[in-house]
Order: sequence, then C-alpha cells, then structure tokens
Amino acid sequence: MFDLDTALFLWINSLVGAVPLVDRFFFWAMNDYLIPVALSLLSVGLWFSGSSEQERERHQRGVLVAALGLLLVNLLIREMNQVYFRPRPFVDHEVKLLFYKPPDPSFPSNATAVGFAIAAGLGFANKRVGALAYIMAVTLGITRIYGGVHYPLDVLVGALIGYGSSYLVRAILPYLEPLPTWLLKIGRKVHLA
Amino acid sequence: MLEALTLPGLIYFTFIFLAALGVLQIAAALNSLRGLLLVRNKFLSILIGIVLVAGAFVWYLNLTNGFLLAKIEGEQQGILFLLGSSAALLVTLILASLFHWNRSMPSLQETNGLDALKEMTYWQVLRVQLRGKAREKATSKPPKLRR
Repeated sequence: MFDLDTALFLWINSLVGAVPLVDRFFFWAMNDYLIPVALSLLSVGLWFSGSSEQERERHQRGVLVAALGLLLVNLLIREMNQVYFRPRPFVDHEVKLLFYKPPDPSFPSNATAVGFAIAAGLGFANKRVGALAYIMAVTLGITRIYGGVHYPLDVLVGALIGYGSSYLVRAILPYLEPLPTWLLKIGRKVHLA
Repeated sequence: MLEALTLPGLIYFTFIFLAALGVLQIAAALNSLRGLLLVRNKFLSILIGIVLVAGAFVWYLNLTNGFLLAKIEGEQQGILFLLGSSAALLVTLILASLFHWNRSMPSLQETNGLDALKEMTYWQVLRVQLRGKAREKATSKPPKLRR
C-alpha cells in the first residue's frame, strides 16, 4: 500500500518543472492561504444568500455544519498526530519541492481535510456553491501532492476525514436542537441571519 | 487570542477584512440586501466587491512574497478570520447606515431577520425596532383609574 502510495507520489512530483506556468499556479494554490481563505469567504457569502427565508436558513445551517466540521477536523487530526507520525515525503525521498518544508506530520493532510469539511458543509446546503467548493478542495489536495508536501494517501484520508466530519456534524445537528435554532433565532433578532 | 496580534497577524487581519468587505458587497447586491450596500447601484456594488476581494488577495500575495512570509498558524488563522470578517460586517453596517442616512423609511412595519435590510439600513431597522418597543410599552400600560 505504502509502496504504491510512494510510487504514485514520485510520479506526480516528477512533473514539477515540465511547465513553469503550471508550477506557478500550483505554488499559489497549494499554500494555507489562497484556497482555505477563499472557501471561508464563500461561507460568509452563503450566509447572506437566499431568495427566501427558508433557503437562507438552509444556507446558514450549512455554514454552521461547515464551521463545526472544521472544529471536529482539527480535534481529530490533533489526536491522530499524537498516535501516528508519518514523515513528509521530502524527508525520505528526493523531491522537487515547490514550497517550504512544513514541520508537522504528513498524514493525514490537514489542509485537504479543512477544505473538504468546508466544501461538504456548503454542499449540503447549496449544490452549486458546494460544487465550486469541492473543486477548490480537490485542487488544494492535488497541488499539495504535486508540490511535494504530501503523499496521495495523506490527501485521500484527509479528504475522507474532512467530508466525514461535516457529515457527522450534519447527522448530529438535529439531536443538538434547540441549540442551532436558538442560535439562528438570535441572529434573526439582531437582523444578521 | 492576543498571540494572533503580531505584525503578520495584523496584515492577515487586514487582508481578511478587505476581502470580507468585498464578499459582503457582492452577496448584498446579489440578494437585494440594499441596507448593506455602500453604493445604491447594484452593478457598481458587485464591481466594488470584486475589486476589494481581488485587490486583497493580490496585496497579500505581494506583501508575503507569494504567501511564503505569511507564517500564521492554523488556529490563529481561524481566530483572525472570525475577527476580520466580523469587523468587515460591523464597518459595512455603519458605513451603509451613514451613507444612506437620508434614505426614505418605509412605513412602520414588522421587521424580520435579514429581510429587514432589503429596504432599510441597519440604523433604520434599529430605530423601527426601538419605536415598536416604545409603542408596545405605551399601549400595555394599565389605564389610570379616576376617582
């Protein structure tokens, strides 16, 4: 399994340098700022969107799921990192690195998990916005393999953890009632929801 | 939370603030939330929003040498995003209320959630709410008994 993972990583990473323009784009897309911030801003936009009160409430619940999913992702990955440490690819292999050397564990990909947690939350509420968010999250994952900071398995598991966290939050949310409804009601009282 | 207030933190906060300001203008224009618009024209509001979002990203990208000098930890990022976007919302509410302080106010009506911002600025919504409460208080007073 790990051999295949490494082989796939080395093949993808070997493409670095072939097209400098692609390298430039991947260099910008793979960092912790461009796509994660864009996804978070998309959440802000979705909070204020909706042609009816019902649609807006669906969107706002989606943003809540994304935010709670994000918290769960951070908790899960923090715990996983205590149990298992997989070194970054550049530690064990000769890698064409597009970015700086992150010191934290390679497995699972934290950035991808964050991207997928937000994308799933938004996707549950609005399919079109969700599709855009998933494209961003997938791009983030692929660029991080290409750029030499993650193995494909790290990204795959990160994506599953991210999606799974938001899915779980969405499933649990009805059991947390009336808390989410109260929160939205307070927001509505101050005219911000 | 104070750990987030370093120079890179303040720069990141400004980046988020400007980008969120832009997103709010785009979302308000697309959803007819006129009480959040800084200018009356919807098309111009979307344009301002796009310029703010794109400008914020380009500015941050240049300032941090392609994000290489950004150096904000994950948790800090979350806190600063929350602070930056909240500040952007607050500034939007204040500026939109100031810029359109003389906008004609619809007749006193029941306002509900964000829908209230479709016709009124936030300041006007608060005034309507306060007036409604004052009226409620006045009508709920028991009549004085005459001897």
